[in-house]
This record gives sequence, C-alpha cells and structure tokens, in this order.
Amino acid sequence: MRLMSQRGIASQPVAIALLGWLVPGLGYWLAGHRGRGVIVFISVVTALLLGILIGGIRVMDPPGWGQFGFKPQIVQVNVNQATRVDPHSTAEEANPRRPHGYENLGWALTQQPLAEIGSKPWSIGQIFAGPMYLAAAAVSVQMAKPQEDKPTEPGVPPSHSRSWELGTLYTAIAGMLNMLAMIDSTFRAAQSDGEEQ
Amino acid sequence: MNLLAYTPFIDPLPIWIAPWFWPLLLLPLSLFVAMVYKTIKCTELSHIPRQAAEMFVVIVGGMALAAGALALLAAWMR
Repeated sequence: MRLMSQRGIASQPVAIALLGWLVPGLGYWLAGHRGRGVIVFISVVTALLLGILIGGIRVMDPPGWGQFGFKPQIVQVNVNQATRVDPHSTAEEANPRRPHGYENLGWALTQQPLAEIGSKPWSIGQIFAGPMYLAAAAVSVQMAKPQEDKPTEPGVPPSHSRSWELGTLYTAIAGMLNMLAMIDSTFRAAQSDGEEQ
Repeated sequence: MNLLAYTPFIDPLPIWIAPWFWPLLLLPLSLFVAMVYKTIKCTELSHIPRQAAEMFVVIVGGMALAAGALALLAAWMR
C-alpha cells in the first residue's frame, strides 16, 4: 500500500519537484533513488547550516525586510520621485510618513518587487533550499529588530567582508544544488514512469 | 567582537583570527558541489564517490591555479 502510494507520487513530476523543495532529496527518495536522496539531503542541509555558522544568522537576508527587521516602505517624495524607507520600529513601519512627511505608497516588495529582489539576488538561490530557508530567514528578521536599549542599531548586526561572503555563498549554493536535484529527480521520476508503461 | 560572547549560528564565525583559515572554508563547499553534481550525472550510484573525489580535486586545483595566476597578475601590475 505504501509502495503503491509512493509510486503514485513518483508518477507526478510536479509533486516530486515540490517535495524535493520541502525536504532536499525527498524527490529522489520517492522516485526510488534513495541513495541519491540521502547524498543530496546531507550535502544541501550541511551546506546551509555551515553557511549560517560561518556568516551568522543574518546571512539569511530575505527581500522585503530591511536591516532592522521591518518591512521597508516606498514613500512619495514628489510627483516624479519615490524613495525607500527602512523603518527602525513597528510605528515607523506602519506610518513612514511621519518622520519624512511624504505619502506612503506601501511595502517595497509589492511596490517594487524586481528592484527589491534584485538588491538581494542571493536570496533567489537561497529560497531553493526550501522551508529551512524560510525558517532561518524568519529567525534572522526577528533577530534584526533593535533592542529597547539600542533603538537605532539592529538587534544582531549582519556580518561583513569574508564572513558574509562565504556565508552567503554557502547558503545560496545549497539552494542552487537543491534546485538541480529537484530538476533531475523530476526528470528521473518521469523517465522511470515512462519506462514502466 | 568579544569571542567570549560568541554564539554559534547567531554571530559570524571568527574566521579573521588566522588569515590562512578562510580559504580552507572553500574546501567543504567544493566537496558538496562535486557530490551533488556527480549524484545528478552518474548513472550508477557506486561510481559517485570516486567521480566526486576526482571532481573535487579538479575544482580545488582549478581554484588554486586561478588564485596563483591572479596573484602573479596583481604582482606584475604593481
């Protein structure tokens, strides 16, 4: 029964790709390539954890959140010009007009999605590491929020120079490797399904 | 940063303690790339360890050669 249900999943390439994103290597595992699944799981998870260990949690820097852990807002400066405000507090996030005196157009990720994602291109690779990335990014955003005694500084500052570069490189490559594994496991599942028919 | 206050996974690893340390961190990454790439490419699972090891050597050797060539270029430009 269990094998039959696994066979059913393995015949659906989209499900294999999605499950491979949820848990690195699970796509291979369900497609019947268990050894490959284990290798991919160990490699991707270890690379991601090593990246966070080397660069600190703040290497998980999702687009749509600023360096203080709040949602950056786009405010209208004049008729032709808008600017991005990186709030320091929940109050400023809710109403960025007050310190600047301009009209708030909304969250930077929805107002200028390409510019926001383009300013953090490594996040495109990182997101393919799956829910581990989302969880680590959520922790990073929480830790970035300023503490009460230091309201103008991030709670945990981002690392810099080689720590940040290596941490980002590890986490982005972990995601990219999982993306390759997702594509290949999907292909192998579709191929083996075709062979059986 | 005060090393006594270092919290793993929250603070960055103090790789600046020794200048020779950070290039070594490229070795595990090269190994992961070689392992996953060969997992995808190899038709037989039993071929993966040997081929991944060969690819690891090629990646590290290539990076060392590139670093040497760039160091020579930088020295020549000075």
